[in-house]
Amino acid sequence: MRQVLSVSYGELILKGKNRQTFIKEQETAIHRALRGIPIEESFYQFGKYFLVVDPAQQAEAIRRLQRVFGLVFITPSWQVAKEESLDAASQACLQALEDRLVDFQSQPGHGKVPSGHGQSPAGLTTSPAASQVAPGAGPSFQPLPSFKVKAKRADKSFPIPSPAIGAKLGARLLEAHPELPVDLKDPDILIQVEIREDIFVSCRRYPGAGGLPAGSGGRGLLLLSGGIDSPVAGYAMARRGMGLGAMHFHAYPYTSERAQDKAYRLAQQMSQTVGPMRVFMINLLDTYKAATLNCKPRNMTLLSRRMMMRIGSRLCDQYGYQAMITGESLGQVASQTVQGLEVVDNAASHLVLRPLIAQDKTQIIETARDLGTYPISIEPYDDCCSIFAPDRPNIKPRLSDIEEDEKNLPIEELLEAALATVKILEID
Amino acid sequence: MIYFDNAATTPLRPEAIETIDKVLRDHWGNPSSLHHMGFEAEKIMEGARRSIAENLGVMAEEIIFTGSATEANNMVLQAMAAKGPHANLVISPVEHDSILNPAKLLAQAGLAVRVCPVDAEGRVDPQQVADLVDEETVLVSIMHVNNELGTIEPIEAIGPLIKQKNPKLHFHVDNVQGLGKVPLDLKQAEVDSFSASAHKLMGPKGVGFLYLKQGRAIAPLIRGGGQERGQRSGTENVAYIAGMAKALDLQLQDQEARDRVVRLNQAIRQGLSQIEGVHFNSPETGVSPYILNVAFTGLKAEVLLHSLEEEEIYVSTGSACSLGAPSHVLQAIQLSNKYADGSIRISFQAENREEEAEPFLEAVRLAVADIRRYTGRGGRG
Repeated sequence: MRQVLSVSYGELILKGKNRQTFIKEQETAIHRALRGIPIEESFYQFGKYFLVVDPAQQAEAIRRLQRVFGLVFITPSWQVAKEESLDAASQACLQALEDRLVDFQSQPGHGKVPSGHGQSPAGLTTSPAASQVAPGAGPSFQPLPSFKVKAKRADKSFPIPSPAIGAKLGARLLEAHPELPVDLKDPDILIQVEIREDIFVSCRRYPGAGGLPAGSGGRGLLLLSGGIDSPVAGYAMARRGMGLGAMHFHAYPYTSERAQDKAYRLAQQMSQTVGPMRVFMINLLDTYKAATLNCKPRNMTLLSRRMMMRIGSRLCDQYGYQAMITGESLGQVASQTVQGLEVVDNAASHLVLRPLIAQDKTQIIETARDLGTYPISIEPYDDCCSIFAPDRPNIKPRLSDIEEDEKNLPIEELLEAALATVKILEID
Repeated sequence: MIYFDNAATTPLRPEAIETIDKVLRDHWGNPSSLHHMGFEAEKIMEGARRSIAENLGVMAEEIIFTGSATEANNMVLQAMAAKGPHANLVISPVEHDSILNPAKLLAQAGLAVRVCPVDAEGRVDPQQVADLVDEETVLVSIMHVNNELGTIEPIEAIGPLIKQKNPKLHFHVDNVQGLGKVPLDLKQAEVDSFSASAHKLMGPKGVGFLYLKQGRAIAPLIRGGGQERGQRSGTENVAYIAGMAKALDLQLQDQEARDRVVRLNQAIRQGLSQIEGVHFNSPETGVSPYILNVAFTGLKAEVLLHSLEEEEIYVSTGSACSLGAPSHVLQAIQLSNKYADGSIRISFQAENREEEAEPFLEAVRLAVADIRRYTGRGGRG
């Protein structure tokens, strides 16, 4: 009998023709997340992936696995060889039961609180927060927790049917703990027994980040400004399996070196969750200067963002990204009106994904906090948006007007000038 | 490269580097050790203490080595917490954060913190300071030279007035920007303590000292092995202390340095005054020649700073535009926002040369014109 971590993949990667590729990508992501934690062994049994890590590092391993996209559950389990018979399995069940009983002793005054399932992920909130029970709300008397053993055979050749396994093991537990009630419908403690090549016993499981494994959804180039939104937008796409690159536009010396460093540190922080990233640093000062002298001030933001789209499209072609990603959210700032978005979109020759378009700021901030990018984002270094932002921006632009104003700019020349400033930084 | 940010920190004098290097290599003993290695280190450290004391005209026992001037300021201010909730202290609003923040701590501990207002040049009036002093005043702390404006505070006039009203109070002076640059008569000023830092004097960072007048012992901030006569525990940084003594000695020997800096300051002031929309935040008289604070309308100082940095010219800003608000000093002199956003501080040291003025001025002229052109908001609407 030994402790293992069982890792449940999302169903989507188990289907389809690319299954093997997806599984390879998923394994790579898992092992990257666990870097620094020695993995003694890893193996599959009936489609489920198992890892053997030092029990002392198990909690940290779970915490990190909860950030890996494509995983549904992480379940610490006891592995028992079938030859060891049900006796060994019942030993494991007893350990599991007693492990969970500790929760109930340490939470006086609570009714049915710790179910052992649905603990919110250590890091990222990917679903509505799990409901919480107000402390001290329950009655002062404390009923003993009920339990149930539920067995499942992945290996259908195992001679005993599932309900019988559950009943047998349950009976053994009652011998050890005759005081505990059994509840087959809604037990406080659910002990799961899975029959694969070996027998696996578990009493807790931790939800994974969900989504799809990294790299399974193409490659996208994120506009990383330094603000709160863009890292969250990148995260949202990465969660659906998109590999990320990032481009940061600055206007040095009109913006500080520290603004670029901030963008780089944001990318570093993101990469802990979303995987390796390539960061493009681009100086857009010539465009800002030319637009200041030759165009209407109120169009500045739109003109510069259109230039970003053109530069981004070129980088997509050159470096193999299929789409650009922005952190725009409808109505959040003056340029993010539906008219403004359309005008900006028009300059892009690639798909532009805006995963936050319908999200509220409070939602975005919450994810940014979980992602660990929020404290970096609120550092005060100006990016070029704020230095050159017009006092009265054009919030209802017409494409024809913007195109007319743009005739005053040597677009091709500015595009080449900006591309000549590209600096590439690799993370991981 | 033109480095005009010497009020932030200075390059080291080569002689100071040599001294430090030699001590680190050959005399790395603990000055408290009884054996020969310790004795040698102690001799070097005490030699440095004597040299500093002689240069200041004080006794060697009155010099306490610290890790920084910030630490020295904290020692004096935090020692006042023990004086009880009825006590009060008097400071100016233009003090360095290493005075202001410990003062806030004292306020939380119940002491009354009295802030004497300053005029448009950032200067306190000695009589106004004295008016705030009463029998319960335990400390008056006024800086000698303001680190942003260069304004010289009337320390020598303040001392006798406040001591006349309350001879028991402790008169502390933050002398970081003054030492070795602007003379201060400690006896005339009746100063009880002052703080100093090596790295503003072409010495190393991470070392400073507190001059503490004999008989004015204070409760130590750092307790331990009882070094520095119990006033500041912790094994002394012998090499840096020796480097600091060397740097101070050379600074004071270099009689012509001050004249050179005065001429450089004047040349730059004269050149800048030709630029449209310029405003000098530093006063014309009663000011350290080592600091020149100047504002340009219609630009953000941080953009000017980065534009000059591209030409390898280094200055600092009086307000970081990204932080939104002007510095507490510019606020205290009620500088209009028109100027506060575009304020930079140019600061010198002994090795700057007059020849640096012209290329500096040329770079400023170009950068100011360029920035105003692109961010001056005067374009077509």
